Amino acid sequence: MVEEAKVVILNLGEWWVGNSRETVVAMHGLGSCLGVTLYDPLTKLGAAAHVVLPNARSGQEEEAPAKFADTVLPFLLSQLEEYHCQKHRLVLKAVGGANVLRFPRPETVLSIGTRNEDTLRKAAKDLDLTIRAADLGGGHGRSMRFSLEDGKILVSGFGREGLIL
Amino acid sequence: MLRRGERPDPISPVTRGRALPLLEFAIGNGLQDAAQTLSRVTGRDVLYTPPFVDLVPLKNVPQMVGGADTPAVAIYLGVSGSLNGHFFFLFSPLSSRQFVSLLLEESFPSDAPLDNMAYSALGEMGNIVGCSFLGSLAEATGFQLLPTSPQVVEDFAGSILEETLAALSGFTDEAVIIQAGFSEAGTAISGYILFLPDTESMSLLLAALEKPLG
Repeated sequence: MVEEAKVVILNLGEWWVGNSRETVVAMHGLGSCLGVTLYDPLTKLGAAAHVVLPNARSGQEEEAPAKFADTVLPFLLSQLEEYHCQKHRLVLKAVGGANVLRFPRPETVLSIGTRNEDTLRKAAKDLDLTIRAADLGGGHGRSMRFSLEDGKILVSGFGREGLIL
Repeated sequence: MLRRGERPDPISPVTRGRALPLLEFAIGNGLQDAAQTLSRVTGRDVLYTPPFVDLVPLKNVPQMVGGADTPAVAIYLGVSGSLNGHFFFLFSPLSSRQFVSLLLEESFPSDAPLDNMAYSALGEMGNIVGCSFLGSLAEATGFQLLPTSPQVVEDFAGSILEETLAALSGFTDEAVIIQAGFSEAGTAISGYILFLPDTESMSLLLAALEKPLG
């Protein structure tokens, strides 16, 4: 019997950790936000978060640790440690960080999408994690489905062919 | 004054109860003006549907407009002046083609991608609706409300709104959502108007509506 996939939808700032291989974690209509996933192919343990803003201000980290690009990775790693994961086996992927609208702002001020991407890349580097696959930036929205069966992400960009990461 | 990161006081049920009908009245006037302008521009008899206005938590906004991954066309205007905020007129891809057909006076195929002419027509329409909307709010509050030039985008509804929701998250809790529509010769074209005031601006708006002018 084939087990039916259980779909978990993450909204802004939400996160998920688990090792039930029939689970699919979905994020719909990503724009400037990031869909971030960590996956251990050996144990099929995974974590995902819908990241909204680049940096947590003081006090916000405790309230919503997965909401910020600078705190999401340490937070997800701490959650994965409870499953005794091996950090060196974790595969990091990221989707989103687009600039769908051009807001009026000074040239020196970067968009939230771009700052989210930059901050995540820096946070990954600081933790010795490599982003193994990504579909980031650009001017179009994306929806994604992260399968715990194989760790693959199906990305559907608006008006584009599907992409597998 | 609120400091950065500090949340404004929740809007009291009394203020909400008093201000919401006034907001609905002002927005109805704005849409009526917009219908008149659209009629003049197109030479057709464009009618407006009486709006349904509500205040909803920011996090529910994508769900309210049909889900974060629903394809949508939106016209965006930034708002500055007495208060800062964001105006969106959001509708389905089908409605957008119907609007284009009405504005350009020729049938635009419902499955064709929007071209430059269509984007420009929708931008003009958003300008008319947005300026009428802001004009009616300005009249009801005594505020000065200045729009930016319109931007038109077709994408997932959630993707269009996400950067605005992200920027406001932690500061503002609610958005004004309006089910709005126009009709011409029996064809109804409907969508949502979203008005997302920045920090403090929602309280300013509701307080100004409550206070009788003059």
